[in-house]
Amino acid sequence: MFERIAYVSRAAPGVGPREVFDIIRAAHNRNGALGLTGALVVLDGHFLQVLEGEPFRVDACFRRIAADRRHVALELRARRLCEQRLFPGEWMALRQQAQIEPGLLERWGYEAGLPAPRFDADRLEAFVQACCGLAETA
Amino acid sequence: MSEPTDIETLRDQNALLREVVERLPLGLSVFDAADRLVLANARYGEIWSLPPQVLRPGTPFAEIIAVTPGQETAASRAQPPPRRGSVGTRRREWRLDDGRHVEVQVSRRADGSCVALHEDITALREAQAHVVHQARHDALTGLINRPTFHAALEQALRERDDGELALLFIDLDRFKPVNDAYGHARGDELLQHVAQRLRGCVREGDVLARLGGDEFAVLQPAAGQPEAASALSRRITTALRAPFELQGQRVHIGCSIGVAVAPFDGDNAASILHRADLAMFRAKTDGRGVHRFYEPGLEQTQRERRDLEAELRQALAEGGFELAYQPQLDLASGAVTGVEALLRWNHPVRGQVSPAEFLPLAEETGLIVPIGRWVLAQACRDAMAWPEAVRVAVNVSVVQFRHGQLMADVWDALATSGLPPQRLEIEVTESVMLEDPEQALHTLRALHGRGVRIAMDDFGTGYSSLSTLLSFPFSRLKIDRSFVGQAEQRADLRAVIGAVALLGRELGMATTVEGVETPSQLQIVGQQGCGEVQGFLFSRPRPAAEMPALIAGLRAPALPRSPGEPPCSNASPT
Repeated sequence: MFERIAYVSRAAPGVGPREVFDIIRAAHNRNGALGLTGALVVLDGHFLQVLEGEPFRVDACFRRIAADRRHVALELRARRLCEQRLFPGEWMALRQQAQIEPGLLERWGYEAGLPAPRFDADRLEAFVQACCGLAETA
Repeated sequence: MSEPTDIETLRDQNALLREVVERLPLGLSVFDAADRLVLANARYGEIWSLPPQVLRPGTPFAEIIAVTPGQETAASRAQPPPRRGSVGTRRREWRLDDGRHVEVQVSRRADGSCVALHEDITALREAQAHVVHQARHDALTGLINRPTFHAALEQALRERDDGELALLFIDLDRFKPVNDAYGHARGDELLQHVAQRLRGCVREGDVLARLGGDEFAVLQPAAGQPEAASALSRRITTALRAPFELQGQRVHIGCSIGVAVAPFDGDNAASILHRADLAMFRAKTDGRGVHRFYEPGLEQTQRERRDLEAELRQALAEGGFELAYQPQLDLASGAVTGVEALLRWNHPVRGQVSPAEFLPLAEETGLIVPIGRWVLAQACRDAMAWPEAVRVAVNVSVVQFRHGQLMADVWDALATSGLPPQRLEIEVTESVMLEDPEQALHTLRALHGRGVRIAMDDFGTGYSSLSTLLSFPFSRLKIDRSFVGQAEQRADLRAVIGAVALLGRELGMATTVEGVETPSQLQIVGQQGCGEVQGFLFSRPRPAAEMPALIAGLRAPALPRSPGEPPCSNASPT
């Protein structure tokens, strides 16, 4: 049994490619040993992240994430137990604006920050999967 | 009537010159001012693979060029053309379609005619290419070498533009023991196999090199970092984790990888290489077989480790270590039957440094070997001042087993001090048996054969495999302090203590419980049938000088025994 969380947040002022790289390499340095997997999408100054693994590890990691000053306005959209991982083998996949085809955004009716009414837990997770080139079920 | 003679002389001279021209090892051709062939030897035709019909005098140069199978090399073409009408010699070089190189020396004469000498320099060019290849490549694996890799890295960094570029620093794990065990020739063979597997991991555009020894590197000029480097690193660690076949034997090595990424971690070759190296070190300390990205702060960590290592060396050289001793009491007789030697480091500035802080580093650096040697010698020396019935227990690290000098160190300590082997107890953890069971058992049997006792330390933590217990006649099981700590509140922990005590009795091994701090804990371990105890309830670790008085004065209280409890037996030989 795993726990999976998904959240949306806004990049703090001055957070750019270097900070995104820092976040991901730190994730890669730790997540293998902790059994955490997931994906981070950086779009229009927003972070969309899915994180999954053992509940204890996910909670500890999410506490760190919530306290991180590199983002603000964090909205936790999903926190639930699951049987299977959405990103098995991905210690933290990263997709940024340039790597996502504009057509995909159009198909999903993308709007900056993925406003909550239109992007609930399921849709947010599915969107992050689609950005990573995984099964698209728009 | 000299004329016919002159003609004859000329004819003779002509024939002689003809022959000389034909015997030249070089090709020779002469063209007139209108670039028509005047004279050529057979070698000329051979070198250029020219059809015989174009070798007749009068053939225009353009016609010969048209049937010449090859091209002038780029380097030769790049030479500035001679001024029109100038006189002198030029060298030109052609590469023929069959791969041969031909050098031409063309001498233009004042009347516009020209003489050319042609030489097949294929062997020379091949030798030069070989020398260049040798200089740029590692002879053993055929991969490029460190200087070439450095140059490639510098060039890639210069031409990077906005792109990202990862450098993977790969260091083999456990290569040295394999090299030592199988010999250098087999070690070299292993490195060739490693290079072959690495070739299978990299993609087009990656640059793979052997930096020397068992160090390799890959330059990955790929976007999407750090993911791309992470994926490549995982391919490599997986590939090298699979066993290698060496002389019909399966050999396991593996590798640790450090990654630095430009532009984030620097923009010059030296700093990128240094940071990848630091990250590799981090991978080693994180347990090997993994990859780690450089992160800011690694320099600081590394500096602190270097300082600590230097201080450890200094402490070793200047007598900065001390031993403290903690008594072990027999519950049946109440008497002190042993003492455990515990290492203390009295740091000149930081005061007492906890072993938990410096022992891991001492093990990693191998400093534990001389430190452990000192501990053995000092403990045996100190124990000579105590009653003969009292053992001294000394902890020995897995690194000391691996190093191979442990037996010699023990004999030295016993011989120098004069302590009977039966009074020395070596405490080992289960990790000793896991790493290289054959070597560990060999050493343990040799020690045991001379009368030294062997105790299994920290029993109940780690794997605690019963097969480990059965593989060797340990004289004692030491039950880890974590069990007794909460034994008052938890029935399950009491059950474990009882089960281990029972196991010890059945296997003929004494049991000692560590970390006994309260009378009720003492009562519990007594009820569970353990033979000996050690802990703050009786004494903290104390200096050697206090031991004689402590040994004489300390007594464990007699415990009330509940009916049905097994008798408290200490199975150690008397």
